[in-house]
Formats: sequence, C-alpha cells, structure tokens
Amino acid sequence: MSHARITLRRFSRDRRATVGAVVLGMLALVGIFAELLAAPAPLLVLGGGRVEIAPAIARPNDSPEDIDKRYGDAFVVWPVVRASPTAPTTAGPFAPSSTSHPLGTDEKGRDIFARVVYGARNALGLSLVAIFLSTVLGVFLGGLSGIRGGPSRTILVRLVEAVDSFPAVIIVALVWAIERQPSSLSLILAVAFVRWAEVARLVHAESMRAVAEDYALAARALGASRTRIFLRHALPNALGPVAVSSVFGVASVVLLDASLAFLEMTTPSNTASWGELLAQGARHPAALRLLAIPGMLLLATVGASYLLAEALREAMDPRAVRAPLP
Amino acid sequence: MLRHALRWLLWIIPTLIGVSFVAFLFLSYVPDPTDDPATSLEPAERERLRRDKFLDLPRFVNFAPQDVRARTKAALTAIIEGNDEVSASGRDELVRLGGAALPHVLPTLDSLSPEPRAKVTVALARIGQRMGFTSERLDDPDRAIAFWTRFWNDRDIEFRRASARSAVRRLSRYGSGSRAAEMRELDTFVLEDIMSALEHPHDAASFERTRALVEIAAHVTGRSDRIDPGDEYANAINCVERWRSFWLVYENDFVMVDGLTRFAAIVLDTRYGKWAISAFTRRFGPGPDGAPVLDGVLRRAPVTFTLVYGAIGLAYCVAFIVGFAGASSPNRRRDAAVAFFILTLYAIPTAVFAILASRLELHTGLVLPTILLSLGLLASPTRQVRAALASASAQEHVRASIARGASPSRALFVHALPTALLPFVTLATLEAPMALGGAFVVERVFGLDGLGEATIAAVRARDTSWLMAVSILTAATAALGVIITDLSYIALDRRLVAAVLQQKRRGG
Repeated sequence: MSHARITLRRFSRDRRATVGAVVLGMLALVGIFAELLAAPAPLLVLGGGRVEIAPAIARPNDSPEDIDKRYGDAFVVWPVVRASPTAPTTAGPFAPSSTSHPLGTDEKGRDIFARVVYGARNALGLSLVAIFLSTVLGVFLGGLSGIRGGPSRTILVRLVEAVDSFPAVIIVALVWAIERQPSSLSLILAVAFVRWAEVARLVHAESMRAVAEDYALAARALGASRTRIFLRHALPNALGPVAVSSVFGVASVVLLDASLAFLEMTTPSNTASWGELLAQGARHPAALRLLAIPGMLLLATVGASYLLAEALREAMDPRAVRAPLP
Repeated sequence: MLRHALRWLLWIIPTLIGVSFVAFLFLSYVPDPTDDPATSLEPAERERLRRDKFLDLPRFVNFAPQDVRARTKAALTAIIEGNDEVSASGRDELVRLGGAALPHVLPTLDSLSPEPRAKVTVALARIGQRMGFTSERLDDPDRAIAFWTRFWNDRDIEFRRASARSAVRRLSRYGSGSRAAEMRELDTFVLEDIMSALEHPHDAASFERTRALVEIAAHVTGRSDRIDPGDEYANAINCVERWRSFWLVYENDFVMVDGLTRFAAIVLDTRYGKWAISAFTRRFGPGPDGAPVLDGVLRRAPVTFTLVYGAIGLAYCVAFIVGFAGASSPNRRRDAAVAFFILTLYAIPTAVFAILASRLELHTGLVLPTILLSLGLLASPTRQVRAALASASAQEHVRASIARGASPSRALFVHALPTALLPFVTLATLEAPMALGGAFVVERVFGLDGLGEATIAAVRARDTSWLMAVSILTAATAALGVIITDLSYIALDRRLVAAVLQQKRRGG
C-alpha cells in the first residue's frame, strides 16, 4: 500500500475527521447555496408566459414592492426565508422569531437568519481565498529559498521571523488606514500577507532537509534541475504539514475575521458577518441571541476545522502510519 | 553572553529605523481627510492644512528645499510680473515672510527699474507698520523707497544672526519694553532665535521670559497664540509646544538654507525627516488630545501588555499543569474530555466570553480580562505540552534515569523537562502577536483604556503619527522577543550557543 492510501484510510476511519468534514461541509453548502435559503426574490417564476430562475441573482437591487408587483399573479417558488441580508424588514428591530423571520431581526431590523447565512458565505469564502493565497505564496517563497540556499535563505529566515512576530491586527489596521472604503479584498491580502510566513517556514525546512537527502543527491547526479528536485522530491514531503497548517489556518482566519468585524475598526459597512452580530450583542445585552447564534456558528466552524486538522495530522504522521490501526 | 545580549540590543536600533521607513512609506499613502474631495474647503485653506501635515513635501528626499530666499524671490516675481490677483497674493506672501525676507529684498532694490521698485516698496509697507514705523508714510512709493534705502544703510548690520541672537538674549535677561521694541524692528528675522530660546516655564522668571518671547513671535507672525500673564504653567507649556509645532512646519520660511544645512535639508526637509525630527525631539509629536503621542502610547501600553503577556503566562501555567497531570497518570477517557473542553474554549470567540463576563459586573481590574483572554490561548500549548512530554519521557536518558532509581517526578522535571521546554520558548513568543487581537476585543468589551481603543480610533481618524508609534512599539517588542528567545535557548541548552551566535552573525 502506498503512503497516500494508508493516510487516506486512516483519515477516513477517524471519527473526528468525519465530524469535522460533515460540519464544515454543511456550512460550506449553506454558504454556497445562500440564495436558496434566504433571498428577497423568488427562486423560480412560472406563468405570465415566461420562466425566470433565481431573479435575485440577476437583479439584486429590486425592492420588495417591485418584486411583489412583478410576480404577483405568477406561480412562484420562494426561498426558505423571504428576506435580504442587507435591507431592513418590515418587522422592525429586535423582532422575536416568527414564521417569516425564524431567528428574528437585529438592531436595524434586518433578518438574522439571512445575515447568518450570508455571513457563512463571507467568512468561509474569505478564509479559503486568504489561505489559498498564503499557501501559494508560502510554497513559492519557501521552496525558492530552500533550493537556492545561500543569502536568500538568510533573507527568508529573517523575513519569516519579522512577519511572524508582527500582529495581524496591526497589519490590518495599517491596511485599512490607507483605504478610503475598506474592502474584503484588502482584508484577504492582509491576512494572506500575515499567514504566508508559516507555510514558507514549513516548506523551507522540508526542502532544506530533502535537498540534503541521498535521493535528492542521486537525482542531482542524474541531471535533474533544482526545480525538478523541489517539485518531485521536496514538495511532496512538505504537502502534509502544509495541508494541516492550512486547515488550522481556516479556523484562525475565521476567528480573526470575526474579531475584526467585532472591533468595527472602519466605517460600518452593510456586509453580513458573524462578528458584526457579536458587536451588536455587545451593544444590546438584552438580546442574548445576537451573542448565542454567531457564537455557536463560530464554535462549529472553528471546532470542525480543528478536528479535521488534528485527524489529518495524525493520519499523516509517518511514525504512526505503519503502526496497526487502533 | 552579556556581551552578545548587548550587541543584539544594539541591532534593534537599525532594525527599528528600517521598520519606521517601511511603515512610513506605507502610511504615506493614507488618504488625508483634507484631500477628500467631499470636504468643502477654500483652496488656500486646503493648502494650509496640507502644509501643516507636511503633505507639500516629498517623502524621503528633497533636492530642492524651499528656504526664505527662494520664497522671497518667488514672491517678488509674483509682485512685479503677475496680474492683479497674483500680485496681491505675492504681497501677502512677502508680508508673511516679513523681516526675514528683508536681507533678500532691500539690497536688490537699487537694481530694479523704477516701476517694479515702487510696487515692491509699497508691498513692504505692512511689514514696516508691523515693525513699528507707523509715523512714516510707507504707502507713498517715493517716501517708501527713501525710507527703506536709509533703513538698510543704517540697519543692515542688525540683520545678522549674531545680533539677532544677542537681542533675544538681552530680552531674556533684562526683559524690558525697549528690548521688545528692538526685536520687533527685526520682525520675523528673530524667530529662529526665539524658537531656540523657548523653554518650558517652571518658575516665575522663566514664565515671564517665555511669555515675552511668545508675545513677540505672535506679533510678527500674526498667529494669535499667546500666554496670558495669569496662565497656568500647563497652559503655557502647551502653548510653547504649539509654537514648536508651528516652527517645525514653517521654519524654512524664515531661515536661509545654505552650506551644510542645505545638505541636511535634502533628508530633513521631507515628510519622513519632519516626522523623525518630531519623533526624536518632541516624543513623536502631539497626538489628537494635545499630549505627545509617546506619552499616550506609554500610558496605555502597560494595560495591553499586562493582558497579552499575563494571558500567555497563565495559559502556559495551566497547560503545564494539565500536561503533567496527564503525563503522570495516563487516562485516555479523561484526556479526551480535557482536550475536547479546551478545544471548545478555543473555538468560542473571546468576545462571547468577555461580553457574558462583563455582565457580572465584577470589579477585578485586569484579572478577569486576563483570564478570559487566556481561555482562547490554551489550545495550542496544551497540545504541545502533551506531545513534548510524551516524546521526552520516551527518550533513552530519561528511561536510564528511571532505571538508575530516580523517582518518576525527578525523571520528568530534571531529565525530560529541559529538552521538552525548547520548542515552547519559540511558541510563546509567537503567541503574543496572535493574542493581541483578542486583547483588543477584551479591551473593547471591558472599556479598558489600552492600545486597542486608541489604535481603532486612529484608524478611523487616519492618524498617522499614532499608527507609526504603534508600529514601532510592536516592532521593538517583537525584536526584544526574538532576543529573549535566543537567550533562553542558550540558557536551556549550552550546546546551542555556537549555533545561535553564528546564525546571528551571518544574519546580522
């Protein structure tokens, strides 16, 4: 059996991995299909001589009156909750839960369910993109310095040390200070900039080790280029630790995103986010659900990715792989 | 080892200068509120606000620093050649430059043809009035030319640095009305010496000296920022600081830049240079509340540092206790339960705990916030302690010590612990930047006056000087952390001395 197959088998038999994957998968599905769960416009319109699918995506700026007028007489399939995450509903602020607003409304009268659903999309989307970017950057820089050696190695070690010891909050604060309108793109870039160092450190250490191994020397003797040695002989060894660190990274980026939204460092935006709900919970102590709902969701997301990463780490541990399964 | 520690400490200085360069370059792209097209400002007012923030200067090098001579020349050209509007603004500029411009105007009067000469001398009328020559009719071109020519013949000896300096000294020493009149006749030419003579008043005599100097500076510049006779010392000190800020911005309008100062101005008459001057001489310049930024940072930093390092220390203590308890009496089910519990603590955001705990209204100072912050930090150290102790107690020298008859606790503490500790030193320093975000959250919830709230306010107000100070403080803390890490590596394992020192020498 190959190492990869053993890893996969151990991973799939781990109960923590199952729990983590199921929870994360469900949250990801919620984020991907947010429009099916909560949207002001119908999912499907039949009648009046036309068929429209998900008009909310094509025309996101329609007001509820427009929508009622346009689809008043047709056969219409509505999403689970008829509410927009950004526009206030008619129920007013702090409405209790009801059939039309299952989780009630927040301080500005927006539907909490819709905000939670779109918040899942924002949180997961942001952390996945940021993690992807930082991993690409980290693998590239770490590998480059690992195979080149010499002064580039020292420079990278210093750089990683510097980036590692600089707090993410301060970096995001600096980035947001130079922007007129804070955007999620800048947040992604800032987070990626903070996180690449960890990946680079892992890849760097692994490729340094691999270059010194006999098999790398043999490949060198056979005329393989440095790039080939890195890609074929060093990188596969580094992928395991990198994957584990990336899954842990998802958890920490989701938490960082929530605490940044909680701190309200910039002009308030209308974007749905869990951290923003927490901030409302801090302002309005009476509305306990503003605290409980995002808290539970963050617990689920972070806990699930933590479990997944732990299971992945143990499944890939070469010392444990050859041992009999428990 | 002490020598190495000192050498590393010296390396912090160039590091911090480098960090300040990078942070300054980055923050120089902060959109200034005055540049926002939405704010309605007169162009002249906007120009003045920009100038107060050094936005008219280049970032790092200035090969064409503007001094009083260049500005006078520009003002004269505007007066002589410009149309009505340009000529009027040139006159205003010349009056603003005042007495400091006279050495560059009066000697050239003879070489001008009659019509431009008349324009220039009439423009000088307001300066003459300010100097106290109210009885002369200076708006009349013929009389004005005669007056200024005579004035320069008689007085050019007084428009020298040395005589201005001794005039200021005489005023400080004797402080009579005639001394003040003598200085008024030099007009803005004495500003340079006034500014270097300004001091923070601490007794009645120095208060009176400062008051007289500020009075003259206010008279010649037209800034109505004076010290009243009955003012408190604190107000007077603030006033002196405001004058120093003014001087930092406008110094080159009244001082000639030549020779060595011209070289210095290439780097100092820039945005970075001005920032560095105020950072060194004026404790990072005045903050939004008027007090120096450095004082604000140093007043708030202890709160944040106590939170961050207290929480990390607490988290490590708990992690070690949990780890030792787990290692000394293995119990799979209990270990799993503890691990699950700690994971839950990590995954619930600090904000939730903090908000819930703040409702209890316990007044415990920083203790409760620190405990709350440490909850989220427990996860990684406990996992590491467990793994490290497991691998350390499996090592042969530990087993050998048990075989020789050492007790399990002796084997654990004396033989297993030192090697197991090594990775934690690195981990603990890496923990601080992560804990800072949580510390900001806790400060917000408990309303603590730490760095977090002030930094958030600075981001909203786009206050670059605060952000610069915080970046440098963070970098300094990080550099100290790295040094402490290296030193504790050496302390824990003597064999690493060579490796650590060599790495330092190469990396520099």
